[in-house]
Amino acid sequence: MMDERSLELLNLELDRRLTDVDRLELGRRLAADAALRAHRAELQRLMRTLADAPAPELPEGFRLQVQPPKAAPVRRPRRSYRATLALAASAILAIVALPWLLPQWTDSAGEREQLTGTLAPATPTLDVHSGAAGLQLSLQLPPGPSADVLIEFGPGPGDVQATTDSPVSLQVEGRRIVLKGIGAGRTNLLVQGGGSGEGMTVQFIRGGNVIQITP
Amino acid sequence: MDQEETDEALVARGRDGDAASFAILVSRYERPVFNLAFRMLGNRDDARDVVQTTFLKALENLSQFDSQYRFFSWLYRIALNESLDQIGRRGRHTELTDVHVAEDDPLQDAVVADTGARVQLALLGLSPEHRAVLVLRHFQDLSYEEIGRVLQLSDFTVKSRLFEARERLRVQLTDTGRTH
Repeated sequence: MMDERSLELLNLELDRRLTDVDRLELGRRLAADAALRAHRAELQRLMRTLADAPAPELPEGFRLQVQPPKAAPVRRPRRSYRATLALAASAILAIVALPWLLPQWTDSAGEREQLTGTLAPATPTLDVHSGAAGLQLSLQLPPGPSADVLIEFGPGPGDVQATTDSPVSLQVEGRRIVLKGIGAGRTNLLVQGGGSGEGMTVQFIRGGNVIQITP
Repeated sequence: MDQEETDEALVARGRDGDAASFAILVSRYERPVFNLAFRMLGNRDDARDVVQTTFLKALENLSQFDSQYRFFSWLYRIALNESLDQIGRRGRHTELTDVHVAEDDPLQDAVVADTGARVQLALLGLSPEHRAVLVLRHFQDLSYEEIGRVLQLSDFTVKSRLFEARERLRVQLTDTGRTH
């Protein structure tokens, strides 16, 4: 078990916030502790993974088209605060709303149907039954690579407990369940403490996609 | 002109009723705010809603912005609060969110997409408080002090929360062998 000061020094190093004294102290600790060196390597790998995660791209047509007025405005007499705010709000509302409105106007029904038709077969399904033993979840994953599943329950009196009949990694933390490595087909899960599933959200993560499902 | 003007100068002009100056701020921060909201929510549509609401609220409250603070700190705070509200409002519906950026090389594309999805899954597995501090540090590149201003926390609390969040994220990602 790593002591708190060692962990602090490792994290400060990652954030480039070590003082000279800290650096010496960390050096001494690393020289004397192989576990600390291993932990440091893991944290450095974590940093690389975070750095490698691609930034989410703005959706097509999302970029706000903001342009200053064409003509340089002449100095006008000061308006009242309310009039100024109303004017600015109108202008910005138009600027902000346009990119979101335009795609809806330009998307043809055919494009929307095509999108739905493309994604629908790859969509997993979820069946939920509330019984005496608890909440029974049946997750059906279509053919393809394995997926991870994140299940979050709304606020409740205590933690949830979960069991599964499938050979997958199951982690429960508070009112959150993570299943890793689910293969195609059906995976059953019995959850206790999740009530009737009200407020529950389920997210399938497969390849580059996150699919959120609520029953 | 846009590149040379500071946020503070643009805010001052915006307060005087110059709509264009606020529009420049929007264009300057729409991408980081979207990134922040997406990392918090894991969903493009929700993130897009958060961006829209964030800028509208910023505009409505521009007169209340305290110019002794940085504009982006204030903006990120609004965006985080909106994201947290969005988490609370999530309804029962099905959505698909594309996490990755398309690359020319299909294999590289798959690797990048997988890394992105794993990181996003791991983030979503954390509490919103841990997620927020990680997002601000690693995806917005804020310092401890800047994170403290956004979250209104002491430096000590920021550090302790960040270190704990990192540890939890490391465990989640290491379990699947996805750190490399």
